Amino acid sequence: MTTASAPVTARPVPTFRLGSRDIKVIKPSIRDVRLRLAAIIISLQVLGQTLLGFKISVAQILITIGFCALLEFGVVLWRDGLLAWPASGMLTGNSTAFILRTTGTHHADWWSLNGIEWFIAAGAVGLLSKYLIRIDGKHVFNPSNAGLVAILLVGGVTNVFPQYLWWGPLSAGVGLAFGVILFGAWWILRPVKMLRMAVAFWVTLAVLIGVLAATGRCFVAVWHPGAICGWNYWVDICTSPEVLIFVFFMMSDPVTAPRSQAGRVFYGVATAVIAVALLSFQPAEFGIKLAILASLIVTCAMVRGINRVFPAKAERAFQPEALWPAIRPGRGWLTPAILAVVIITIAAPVDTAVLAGNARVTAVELGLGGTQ
Amino acid sequence: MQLPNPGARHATQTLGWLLLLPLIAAAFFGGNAFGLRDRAFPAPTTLSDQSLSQAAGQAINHTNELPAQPYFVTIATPSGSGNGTRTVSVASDALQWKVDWQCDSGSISIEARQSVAKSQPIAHNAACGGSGENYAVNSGTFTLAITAAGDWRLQVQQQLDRPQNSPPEAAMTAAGSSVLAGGSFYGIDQQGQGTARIYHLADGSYALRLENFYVTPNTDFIIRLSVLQHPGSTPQFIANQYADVAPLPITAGSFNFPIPAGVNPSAYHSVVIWCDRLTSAYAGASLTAA
Repeated sequence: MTTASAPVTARPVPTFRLGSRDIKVIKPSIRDVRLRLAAIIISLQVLGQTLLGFKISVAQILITIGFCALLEFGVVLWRDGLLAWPASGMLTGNSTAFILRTTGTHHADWWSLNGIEWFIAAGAVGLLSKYLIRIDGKHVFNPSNAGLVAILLVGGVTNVFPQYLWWGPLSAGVGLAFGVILFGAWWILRPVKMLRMAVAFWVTLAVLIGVLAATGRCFVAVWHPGAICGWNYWVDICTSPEVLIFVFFMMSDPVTAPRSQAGRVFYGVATAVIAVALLSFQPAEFGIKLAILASLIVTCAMVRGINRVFPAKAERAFQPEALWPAIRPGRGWLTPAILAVVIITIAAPVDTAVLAGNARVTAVELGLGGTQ
Repeated sequence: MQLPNPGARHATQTLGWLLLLPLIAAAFFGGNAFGLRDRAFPAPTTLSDQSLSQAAGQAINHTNELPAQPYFVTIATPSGSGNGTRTVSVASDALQWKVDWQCDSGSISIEARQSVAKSQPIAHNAACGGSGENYAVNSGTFTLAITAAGDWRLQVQQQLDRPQNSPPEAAMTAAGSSVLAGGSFYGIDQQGQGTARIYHLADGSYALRLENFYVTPNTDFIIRLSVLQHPGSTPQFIANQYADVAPLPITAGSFNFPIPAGVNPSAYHSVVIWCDRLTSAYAGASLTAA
């Protein structure tokens, strides 16, 4: 999810010596936008545990956050010689635990460790994608999105599933959750200048899903008796709290999004178009959620190109020959990293598309031989 | 990351290339190439892939009908001795059908013929002195051609997922019977809808009727009564007293169940659909006195 960099401080950085290395200590900043995002996600987790019947335990949430925090703490200490509060890692863990669910976990089973290995794997894959797949010093994919897509595809519908599109019939809890999400959107997207991107995504999604709904598309979901078609198809996808969280708090990561406003609008529109193209033939909610998540994998891989086509004001004018300046073989991680980006960018949408033809996915959403 | 020397850089490069291998493997596995993922993580179901496909297709295309967990119903129990033919009719919406056979001596061959060009072998020279079963697909009228030396008995069953509707028992509407309590189903861990009604019958016994009932399909369901007025979660349900009423074999429709003699329904305030396989309270209905 959104991982804006911490503000730079002009004060001298405290340093201590560990073995042969000088270790700098980076203190957390109260102005860090990531703290706002953490506050919103934790608020929603509390609502999920108390009012919304989320099928995730407190233990699963805490272990996922703790594991990601430790992993990032260790990597940053080893790689950069920094003793830093692992805000990004904790956010990755929090976001992963917010969306991922393991089959057989019951609501209110607070200390269940059911399927904890999937949470740890998702956090590990997400953070490894951040630290291993880097081009010109920057990671390409949103860590929690990459981890979720990988684990949902590898684990499959019998082991894992994403949080439901809808969180129950309209109630005080659902209304409160919408309030928190919309407040969070305003509170977080404004400082990182992502509001236009979010609007571009949602409007495009709403129009295209409207076309699908009008042409008779349906899907089945384990939380809904019978197929969801027509007006409900549109409502359940476009106004889904999960979709709003995806666009407000995951797509809006400034590190993996384009730099210019025009680029961000294009990025929003492109993500929606790819998402709708992938979900248009999915008969089950599992495939629809994965289609939306996988669309971000594709557009994150396009960001360097988008930055060239829609450069920020301070950057040079568009030069077509410089579209992919990073493709310069023979620079350590560079070539494997680019190949990894290519493999992931192809595999995520293709593997998601293949789900549509897997009857087991639909059958599990019907409750046949599955336990979501 | 700054690498201190060419050796370290080379090692990093090599590691980078090696890490592509698990990535490629994950890409194939995640796409279920060659059915790898389905084989590694099989769905906990006895349904064939063809049945799953048909059930999925029916659910997505029949938007007004809530499907039940597929269940088998017997459509014929022919028996005979020596060679013979029998006709069976399989419903057009059957997901699949099967033949269980028993024979006493020699061997038995069974073929399901729909036309000269369309026949399915059920059994081929199967040794007798025991029993066996095999599955068949497609619907319509079939001729079972049996080749056997001795006596044989068949049970033909079709698998459906349509709701099954039974009318109320005569005892429920007889003079002297009354409705003790009733309520509407709601979802706990899964979805539930319809109504539950407890009858106090004229002979002093109790019975439960579920009407227009639906619960998220699965197997190994038990109908239970709970002392709670509105069970909200599995842990809450199992932490309080409950009583078993009966197994629930079909997950959509209208059904009647006798309440065991040792259970006094007046002491309980809700009906819970319990999935024993998953130890999960799927749905509940709060009871209010009639």
